[in-house]
Amino acid sequence: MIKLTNISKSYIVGGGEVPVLRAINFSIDSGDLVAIVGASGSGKSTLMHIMGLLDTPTSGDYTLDGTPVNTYGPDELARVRNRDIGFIFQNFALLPQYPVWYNVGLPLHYRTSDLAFIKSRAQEYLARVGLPDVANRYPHALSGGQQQRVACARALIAEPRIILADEPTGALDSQTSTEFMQFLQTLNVEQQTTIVIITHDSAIAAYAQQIWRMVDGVLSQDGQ
Amino acid sequence: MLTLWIQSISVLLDQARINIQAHKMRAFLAVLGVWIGSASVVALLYCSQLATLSVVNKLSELGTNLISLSLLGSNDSVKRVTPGVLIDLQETIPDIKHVAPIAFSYEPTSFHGQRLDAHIIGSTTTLYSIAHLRMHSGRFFTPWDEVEYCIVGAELQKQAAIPLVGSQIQYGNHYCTVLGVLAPTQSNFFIPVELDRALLFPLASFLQHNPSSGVRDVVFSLGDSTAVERVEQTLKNRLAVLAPQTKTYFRNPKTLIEKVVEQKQQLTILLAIIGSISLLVGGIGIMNIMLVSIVERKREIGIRLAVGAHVHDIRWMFLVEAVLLSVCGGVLGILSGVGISITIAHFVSWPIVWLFMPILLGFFVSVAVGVFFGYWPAHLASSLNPVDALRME
Repeated sequence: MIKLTNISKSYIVGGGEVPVLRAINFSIDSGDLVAIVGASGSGKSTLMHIMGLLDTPTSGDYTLDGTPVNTYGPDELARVRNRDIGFIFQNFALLPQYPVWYNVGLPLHYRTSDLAFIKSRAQEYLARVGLPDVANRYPHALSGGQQQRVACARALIAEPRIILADEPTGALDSQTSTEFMQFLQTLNVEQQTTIVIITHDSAIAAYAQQIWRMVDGVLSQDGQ
Repeated sequence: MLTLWIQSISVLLDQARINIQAHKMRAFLAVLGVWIGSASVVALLYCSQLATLSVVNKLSELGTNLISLSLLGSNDSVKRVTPGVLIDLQETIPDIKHVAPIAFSYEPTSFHGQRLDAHIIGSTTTLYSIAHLRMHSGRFFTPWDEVEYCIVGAELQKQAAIPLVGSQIQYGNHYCTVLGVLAPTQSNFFIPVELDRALLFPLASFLQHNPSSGVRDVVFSLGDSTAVERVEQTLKNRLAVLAPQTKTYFRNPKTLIEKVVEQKQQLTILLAIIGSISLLVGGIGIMNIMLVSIVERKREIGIRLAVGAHVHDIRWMFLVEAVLLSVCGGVLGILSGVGISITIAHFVSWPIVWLFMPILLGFFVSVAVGVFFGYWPAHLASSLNPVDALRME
């Protein structure tokens, strides 16, 4: 499904080239639950951004379902992000000025202008993440765990085939983190959704079927 | 398709409303600039049009069916245009309803030894209807009255202090008995004499008594005001044959109104340009606020791009917001501009009428300001790299 071959990424800082990812070779099949573990600054988030089509590698090949993504134009990239990929960010990344239902339905806004449809779908997905009564509330009125579940509902509402979660439990307490990871696990098993979790926490990574470790931009699978 | 388009616009407007409400003070400051600019443009245009309308109304009140003719040249040449010639012109040009020839004489005038500041004039009874004269007391002269009888204007009556009807006024070495006193008259651009100061005589006997005088001015009244230009041209041609040595100078309200309107239009354009400078400043305010908004909302842009927003979705979002701010300022500006104009019109006695041109112009200019000054920030927002935008906290 996702195949990265010799992916490298470097930034130009102060006239010098700073490598962030070094010759990454990585592949995931449909329905996998994968964790990428690493310390802060090791390049995990950069890798997630490349996998999520938010960033481009300096070199190497990335194919999604066998198609090289560098053949996609801006509109096609937006379409794939909208339909095939769902993001869950560390700090929830909710829009504070909009009610919860609007935040959850955000991906659908780029498919339809039918607000009644978007709202009903948002309520349905809020119920699925255990928050049936918060649709008209605002994000700041929710707890951290609730906000993360709202972010999760937003990632799910477009029914993507891949979910990329960047430190999804970073702002949650251990009890809520456990519940959230169990939720992702269920989703992976029941819906065969491919999930990639970026984390620095080995306990969170333990929920995954495969654990990959990122050290200074080099990715390797645990146990290999 | 139309429903879909309306739905999309409605969603964009709703988003813009929410974002504006989230930063009320900033939005107010952005709106304020356009509000002031738009109010100045609308007020300047509205006042200018009301002032034009006021002038046009005043000129129209004088009679749009009048033609005023001045005869320039030596006495001998001017004397060829006799009252008889004028009557002949009236009879042969069917559109002419009345003719009022006017002759002048310059002699000192007094009443009981008190000097009167008077204009001595000879004219016909038709002047009464053409100049919309009204009597204050006594009666107007008839064609059969002799030169011993005269009519005085309201100002002369005022100078004399006692009722003049029946009294004798000295002019030069002669005396005339006052038949009547005119009520105060409005000054009329087409009647080349101040009738309030007039000592008015029947023309025929006036010319007999003042052989050196001739008809120097003529006022024609037409049955149909649309015939003014045609009659003026006919008169020009006829007089060129009848009195070739005499120069003719015509004035008519229609041409004058056209000139006034043309001049006012030029002034209006100038005022609109001056007013637009403040609108320009308002537009720059919108751009500034939008740029600040984009810096603050980079993460939101990143999130939207991550969930599948297209570049044009982001561009539209910010553009609609800029236009909405600008239109809010524009609408407030229109209301204020119209309010200011009506208040001014009330105090300076201009006619108060609804004018749609300044209102429509104010609205469309505010939309244009929003699009013009909002496009660049919107383009900057849509050009953001999703990763850079997402990294913003």
